[in-house]
Amino acid sequence: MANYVEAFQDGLRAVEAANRAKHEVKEVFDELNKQLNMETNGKLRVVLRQFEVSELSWRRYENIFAPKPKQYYWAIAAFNPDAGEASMKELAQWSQDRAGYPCKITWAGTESICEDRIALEEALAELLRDPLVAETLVKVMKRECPEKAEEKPEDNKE
Amino acid sequence: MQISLAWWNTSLSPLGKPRATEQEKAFAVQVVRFLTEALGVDCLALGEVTAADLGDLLQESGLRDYAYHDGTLRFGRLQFDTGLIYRLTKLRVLHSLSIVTKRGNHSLKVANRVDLLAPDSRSPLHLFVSHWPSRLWCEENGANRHLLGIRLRDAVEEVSGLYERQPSTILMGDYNDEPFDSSLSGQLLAARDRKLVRKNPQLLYNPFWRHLGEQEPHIPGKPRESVCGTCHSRSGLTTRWHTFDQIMFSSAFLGSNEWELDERGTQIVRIPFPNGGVSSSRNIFDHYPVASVIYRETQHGKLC
Repeated sequence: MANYVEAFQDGLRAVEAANRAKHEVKEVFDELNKQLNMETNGKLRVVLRQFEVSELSWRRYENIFAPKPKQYYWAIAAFNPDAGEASMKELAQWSQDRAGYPCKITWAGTESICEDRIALEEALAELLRDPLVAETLVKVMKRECPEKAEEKPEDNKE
Repeated sequence: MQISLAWWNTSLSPLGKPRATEQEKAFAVQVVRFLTEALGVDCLALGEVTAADLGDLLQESGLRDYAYHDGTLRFGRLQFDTGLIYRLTKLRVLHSLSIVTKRGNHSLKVANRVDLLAPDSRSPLHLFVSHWPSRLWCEENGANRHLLGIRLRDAVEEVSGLYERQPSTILMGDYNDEPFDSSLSGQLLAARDRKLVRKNPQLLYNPFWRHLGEQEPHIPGKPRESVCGTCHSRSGLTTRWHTFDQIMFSSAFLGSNEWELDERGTQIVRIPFPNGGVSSSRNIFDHYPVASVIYRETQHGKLC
């Protein structure tokens, strides 16, 4: 006969392990943001966000052949807190196992499957080193808040 | 319509570091010409190559209606060293992705996924080309080899998740593992039993189980030259031959989908390499190419 009590206890332990792993992932992003915040004077914040699948993305292309099209996907994104959510730009696609790890980061034709904290930290550092990602981050940092942008013509009046 | 597929670990540039002499490069060109012209290979995946090797092989072979897909990406400290030469009239590349798994500071190359589409085809062919690490760096049946099998299985299942029926997925490469090793049979679920694969379509079919032993039977009084694997090493306790080079298929190729495997074309291609062949230390070539064929029925130029 199946031992349901043991299975239940296994499940509870799995929940704890998954929560620990998810918390660890959050800590990694917190540390990333802490360092970027200091370096950029608060002009850059990296977050996980859902994006709508675009018509031209390869996911959509594949979905021509697929009966269950996905409408949204998770991504690592960056925004300038001064400029608000309008400055949000996708950096890489993201997915995470129900157990917390592995986390999958996909960008520039590469899928990086991170099995633990060190691997995730390395993968995020590799992402930041990518020249196209760096270019996107610079653009995000240069975005200004809508009020400031409107104020500019006034500033020029003397 | 049929598409002939092959994989060859060229040994030209392991980990992206060129080491071949001009004569060896010229011989590699002859092998590519033989595979594409004599065997009619439409999709040739190559291992231990650089982008320059791919370009040179294509140009020197004089293949006019072929192109190459460069999978030799550098990712951190990791160097992918595979690529594709494919016939433009039969295939085009839709999308590609290099898959890496990372544990601690250590990264492993799982596969290069290349999605290809044949003319008038209803769905793409999803090709996973792998060159897993040597047993010198990644021990036999070690945790990392299990991890490679698990993550390749995940990648296959991710593709399957896009479809209601099993998609046309092909895996090929030098796994540095035998068909019976846990990474491939236990984790990737690449089986030898066609009936079981049809019954449980999640399994993959690995026709290279049939290529583990001597290719030619022993006949009394008539010793015959034979091979018993795809690659040869200089030492080995019970075998110097290994079937590390394999081509595997999703269950869809066993009759449930548009494309079907024609196993008569599955073979180890016994190229007469110079200087004593693959068992000799006098040349760099230590792997035979492996080939297979898939077939799609057409009627009056239209799909059945």
